[in-house]
Amino acid sequence: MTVEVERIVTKEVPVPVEKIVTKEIEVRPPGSVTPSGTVRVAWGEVSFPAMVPHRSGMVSAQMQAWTGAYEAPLYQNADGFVVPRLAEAWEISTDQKTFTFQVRKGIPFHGSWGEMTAHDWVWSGNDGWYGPNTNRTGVFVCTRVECTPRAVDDYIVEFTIKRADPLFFFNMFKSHNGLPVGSQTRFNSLGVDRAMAELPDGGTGPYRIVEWIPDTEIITEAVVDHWRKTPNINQVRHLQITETATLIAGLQAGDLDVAKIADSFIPELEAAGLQTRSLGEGMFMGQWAGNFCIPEFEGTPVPPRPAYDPSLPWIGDCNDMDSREDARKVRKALSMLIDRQRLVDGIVGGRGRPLFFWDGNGSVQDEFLRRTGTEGRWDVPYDPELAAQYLQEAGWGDGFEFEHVCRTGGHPLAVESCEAVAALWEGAGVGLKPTISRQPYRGGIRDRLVAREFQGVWFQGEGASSANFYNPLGDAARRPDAAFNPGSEWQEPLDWFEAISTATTLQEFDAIMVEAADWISYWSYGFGVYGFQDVFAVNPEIVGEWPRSSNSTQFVDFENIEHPR
Amino acid sequence: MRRFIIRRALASVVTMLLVITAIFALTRSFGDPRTIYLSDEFNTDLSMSKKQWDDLGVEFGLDKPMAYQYALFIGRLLKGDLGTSVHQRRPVIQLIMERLPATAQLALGAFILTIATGIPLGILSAVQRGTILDLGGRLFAVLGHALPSFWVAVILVIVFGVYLGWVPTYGHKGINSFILPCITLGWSSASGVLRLTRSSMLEVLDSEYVKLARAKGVSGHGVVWKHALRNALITPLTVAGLTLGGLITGSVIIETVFAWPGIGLLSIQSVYKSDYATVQGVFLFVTAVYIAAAFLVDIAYAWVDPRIRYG
Repeated sequence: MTVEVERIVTKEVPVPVEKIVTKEIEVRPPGSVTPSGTVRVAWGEVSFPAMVPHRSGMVSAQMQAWTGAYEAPLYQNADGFVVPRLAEAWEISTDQKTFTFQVRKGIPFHGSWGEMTAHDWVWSGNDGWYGPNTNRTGVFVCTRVECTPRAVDDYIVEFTIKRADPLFFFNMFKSHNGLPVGSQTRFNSLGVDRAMAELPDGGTGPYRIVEWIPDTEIITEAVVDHWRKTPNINQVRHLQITETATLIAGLQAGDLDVAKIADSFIPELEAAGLQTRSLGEGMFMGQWAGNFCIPEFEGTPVPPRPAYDPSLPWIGDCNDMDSREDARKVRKALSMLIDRQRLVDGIVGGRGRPLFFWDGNGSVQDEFLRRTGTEGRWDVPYDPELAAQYLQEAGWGDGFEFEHVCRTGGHPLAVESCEAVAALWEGAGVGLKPTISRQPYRGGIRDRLVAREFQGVWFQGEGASSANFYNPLGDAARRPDAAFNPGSEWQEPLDWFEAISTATTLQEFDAIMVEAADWISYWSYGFGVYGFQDVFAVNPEIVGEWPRSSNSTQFVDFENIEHPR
Repeated sequence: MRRFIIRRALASVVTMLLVITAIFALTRSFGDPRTIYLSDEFNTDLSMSKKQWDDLGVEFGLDKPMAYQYALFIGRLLKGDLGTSVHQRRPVIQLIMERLPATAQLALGAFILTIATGIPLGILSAVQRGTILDLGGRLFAVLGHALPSFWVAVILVIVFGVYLGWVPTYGHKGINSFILPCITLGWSSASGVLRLTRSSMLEVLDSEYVKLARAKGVSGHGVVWKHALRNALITPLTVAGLTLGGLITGSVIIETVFAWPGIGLLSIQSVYKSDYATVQGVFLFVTAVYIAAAFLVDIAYAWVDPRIRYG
């Protein structure tokens, strides 16, 4: 059964238009399936129950959405199409500052909290974004753009944002961290303490959380006769298991059905009868820190950045174009000294490919490159001779010493890859002397970045990231007044980011992105190294087909799991 | 005896104060706890401004001088307040109490295993000194001490969980789930008790009064069970108290490998999240448990052996 949806978009939004077309929403009629069986899923963290948006920590809020207890206004399906969900239709103003949503009628909350209305959206927005003692300051872009939700009537919500920002709309169909809509009536009836502690029956999702042992396990059960899709699987146990050996043993013993695994375990698990599937393309990348070139921001002088030292080879003097150019050549030379294909072959056994952009989802990049006819335009050749020439021209022909930070505790391949890059640089015969420093992100490299104290190069591996159209540019567009940035601040990406917000056609969007990509590639303050498949293992006797949102590279959409038979 | 108890109590208080100071200093070196509010997500980092960052610092007292933070910390501890989890925004003591039962169950299981294997095997080793049984007991003890517990845990999981399928590979559900964690945790302490029991038993068996008993014609069993054992067990049983304290506080690795939702796992998770309030709360708690156990052991020793309290 399908439901036709009338769309009321008044103009093209500044994302590739083919991604923002209305498709039919899939509905499984009540009573058409009887949920059965249990799936056991391993997570790195299941956090703790906090059923009031403003008191939810980041992961707690994510888990409430990922487990299927809550739903978002829109949804990006497995094919990449944005489709209506809790919103039946939407409208975006020409200045990109007003977003109007038509709330779907007749959606019940899990408990006896009545029907979802526009007022629940407003409450969810206000409480989640601005509530007193908010624990979610890092969660939603609304804080930055200063948005105000307003119920026009019971079924129309209007969000007004102070500054145009392409990420605002993106968050409306993000499968987590966006706007999971909860019941205001529940909160008002229970009070904050009970609303916090009691399990969430204030969502609308296809699963209901029935047990949540903090940092241990979440058990969800199917909502029979869910408004959109009654799940096939009756119970999902979300288990927190951090130890790799335990994960592998659990999968082999049949105690676990779904878990992310490291690439190196694929043969072992497939031999045990498990299937491996891809969550998307992960990436290993590096970036230089210390390039802080924004002296003033929105009329306020930017305080001095301790890491800014133009005498270092990779940091240019912001006021001297020749110095900036020399620093650029140094960064570019080091990127050219990385034999990316050799790393792909040696570290991920050929199951990957060289990547050159700093950050960004591989598939989105591919699509962008194809569309704009720019394939190969920003590739960085492995060219030791040209690299040596660049270093010579920059005045660093004899090489230099520098801190080479390998982020620990992240992707299992990251440290090995980071050390391999150091070995390539040291062995290039151009006098480079990297001093490897293994540091955790939190309590290590991140703290130094927050304090703008780190100057050097740092590497990290990231699992598959969600298909965000703005990644390559967005990660460059760091505001000086933000608490965090990855080690550099430039004005140009900020300008492009703002320009993108008001682009009215895909052509305008692409033109800005190509210009930005030229800049990113030329200045090389960050660079991709290689991409790899981020894989997970499933027990094929329990989990059949499982289409998931292309917007999330986590385990989501459990209602879509088919029984294997 | 009273003076001895007071002396030991004062020593315990001083030890606790030193530990409190060390923990306070160490947890501040984990990094800025505010970073847990910054997302790793693309661009959402921008959503926390410097002002919000600074406001959080004020809320956590990070804007105060270290000495002031320390004084505040001591004051709260005296009121039984272990602080509030930066991550969960709940009292740390509440988190500990939620996790304590799982850890206590694990420790108790391991303790029973320790006593049930360490003492009989120690006695057997001593009585059968130099035989194959003694060799087996000593091998058990050496391996228990020498093998790293994380390795033992993984091997046990692979053999009994994966290949034989007799027990679950992780978790805390059902009596079966206790078997592997208890064996892993209890083996090392059982080894200690075994060696202590064996040496203590050997010493007693060589003593004059046992020789006299034998000379008087008391049977071998009678010598061991009636005369030697009761004296030989004083030290192992007293030390067992300390062992129980160690089992409660020392199960971090075991809980991690077996995804066992106890205090050890809580402490590791808190370290990963830079949740310094929970880390210091947990460590203070386990330290207090250990110091209390040591204090009770000292008292028990003194009660059993008057030479100690007058020494």
